[in-house]
Amino acid sequence: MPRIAPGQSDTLHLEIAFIFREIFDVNAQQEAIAAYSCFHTVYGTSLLTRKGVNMTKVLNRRLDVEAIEFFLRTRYPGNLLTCKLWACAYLYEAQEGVAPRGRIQVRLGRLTSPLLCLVILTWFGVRSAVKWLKGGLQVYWHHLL
Amino acid sequence: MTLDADVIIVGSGPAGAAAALELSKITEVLMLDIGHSAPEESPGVDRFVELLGERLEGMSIISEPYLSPKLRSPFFRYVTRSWRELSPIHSSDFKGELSLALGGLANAWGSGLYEFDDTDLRGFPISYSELQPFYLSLTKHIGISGGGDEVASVLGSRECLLPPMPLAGTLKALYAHSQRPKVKAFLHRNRIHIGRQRLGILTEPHRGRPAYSFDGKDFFRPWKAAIYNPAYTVRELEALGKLRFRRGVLVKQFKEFPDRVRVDAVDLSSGQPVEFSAKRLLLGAGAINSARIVLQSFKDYSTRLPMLENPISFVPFIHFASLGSDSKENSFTGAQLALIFDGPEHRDRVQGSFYNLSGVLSSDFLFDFPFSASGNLFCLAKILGAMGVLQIYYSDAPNPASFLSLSTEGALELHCPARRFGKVEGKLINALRKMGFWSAPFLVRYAEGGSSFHYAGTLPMREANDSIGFSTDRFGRLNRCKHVYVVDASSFPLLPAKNLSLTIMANAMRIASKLVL
Ligand SMILES: Cc1cc2nc3c(=O)[nH]c(=O)nc-3n(C[C@H](O)[C@H](O)[C@H](O)COP(=O)(O)OP(=O)(O)OC[C@H]3O[C@@H](n4cnc5c(N)ncnc54)[C@H](O)[C@@H]3O)c2cc1C
Repeated sequence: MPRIAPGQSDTLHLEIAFIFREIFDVNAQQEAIAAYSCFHTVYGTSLLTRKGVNMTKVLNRRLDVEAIEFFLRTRYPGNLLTCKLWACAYLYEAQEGVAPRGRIQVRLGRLTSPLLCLVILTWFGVRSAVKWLKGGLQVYWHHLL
Repeated sequence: MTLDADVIIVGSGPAGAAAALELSKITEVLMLDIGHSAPEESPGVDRFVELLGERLEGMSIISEPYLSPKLRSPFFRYVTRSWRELSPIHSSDFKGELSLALGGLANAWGSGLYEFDDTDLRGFPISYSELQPFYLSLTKHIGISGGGDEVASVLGSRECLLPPMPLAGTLKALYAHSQRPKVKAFLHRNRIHIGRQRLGILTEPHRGRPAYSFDGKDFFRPWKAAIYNPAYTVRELEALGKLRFRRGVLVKQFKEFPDRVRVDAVDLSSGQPVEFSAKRLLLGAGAINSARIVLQSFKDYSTRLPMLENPISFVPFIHFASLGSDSKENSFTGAQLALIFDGPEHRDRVQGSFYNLSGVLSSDFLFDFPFSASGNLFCLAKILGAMGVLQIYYSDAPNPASFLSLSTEGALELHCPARRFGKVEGKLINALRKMGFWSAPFLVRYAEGGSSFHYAGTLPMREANDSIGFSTDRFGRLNRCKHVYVVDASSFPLLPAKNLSLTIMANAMRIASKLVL
């Protein structure tokens, strides 16, 4: 896989570790970390044109990455954070060999009832609205753009 | 002058392979091709490399234009390798792909293999009865599986079919609903027919190839023996000593002499020009590249050749009663059901194929749901399995907006605008709802120009061979030529809304069978 500058690689390492923990509730393994760096090299030129976000602040202040991403996605589709999160989902899928799962879903376990699924979807709708507000506040409060 | 062979075929895709199969009965054939092929099978391959690729090409849709999952899949990258450099196209609206691989675009196909009936062949100077014997021998050669329901008669003869692929998941439920008497009556009133697919996939062992077994790798491992690929035919004929396959050759043009035809090409390994001579030349380089070779041969930089392709749209739908079911259920990842619509909302028959969403990477769909990341991840696990997509194909006829021409630098200028319909989608959405599957017009997506991968019509066949323009006679012979024949879909004067490759193959065999050496 292509090489990446040493300093940048440390930041990317922290980024993927943070996103994996916060979103999927698992640890990113070495291969996923290397692939995450590779992703930034291969698609770097296109990523540079995306609406950026100050990832250092997000990591240092342990902000709600899910909320910020959702807010940005609605305002700036295809923004850098959405791309990073999407890349992490692919890397999770390759690392674990199963479809990516969120931390909440791990707790929902083997839910198979269609009715319960609909109830949970409604709950996710409400939760997403709250996340959107929280994400918006964090973006402006911490000057992330 | 010594000849390299009686017959030279350019291209090893469905057209070239089928022509060779027929010609192998009477003579040995020389096949010229660039011939990229699948990477060697490496059993212990790393999952990252297999799913995402050395250069993460499997996740290219994050930052590059959409590409169908199979063509993006790392081990399938050979299928579309280097065509942009070796056979360039200048276009602002062509978003399709070409293939310079052994087996052609069929390396990535969905294997839907249908016959054209006389309704589909309206406007062709040939009839079903002329293709029928070749459809039958291909059905036996390839091993085609399919059902015996009402759609079967539209998809072709049932003779020698293998049993249909088993249904699974949402589509199993959809089929069951569509067969209920009340629903069936409703569908018939609305001129909608739903039935089992006809596929070049073995449901029983056939001619030394095994039956299909599900391993979730259809999109990641090329050359799965149960899924037919024209490369198998090429390899088989080569092993029997009936075909010489010359790889690494890019054909540029031909020149006719009274007793022979010369092919001018470039040997890609040395970059040197090479020549081949034969009594007859059969062009099977695909509708776009065959047209390029013809225009190049006549140094014609002004003629606009027509370009046909099936406009397509996608209708996603959901079956609420299946919410919570596993999206990775053991099911074939290609089209499981076929739909035919022949109502008044569209001038011609419309064809549809139903897909479930298993087999590809779930992450492809991560941002197709309207929630924050956790909600979307929940959808991937619990909603995706209840979803499906109906892909709708429309017919095409020559129109002034779609054409190609050759530029003096050798690139093709191609115009292939996207087209949108809509009335049929609305009607089919209603029918889906009637069956308990929900969809809505705002979910419908229309594909960009070229993305059906069904290309045709550049050198249309006519009843009589005219001396102007570029066309072929009913036996595939190119006008103004004595020894050059076109065996791919270039010669289709119209493109019905049906998977075209089985007809490309049957027509190539028909042309080859009439060849006088
Ligand atoms: C994702 C996908 C799914 C599909 N699904 C279906 C389906 O379900 N059913 C169906 O009927 N069709 C399907 N198709 C379309 C089908 O693959 C094509 O219609 C078919 O492959 C066309 O066959 P062909 O032989 O005319 O051309 P191609 O398959 O394009 O083959 C052309 C051959 O010519 C060679 N060639 C080209 N130019 C040159 C040159 N200058 N010199 C030497 N060699 C040359 C190439 O290397 C190649 O071997 C699908 C295609 C794709 C990509």
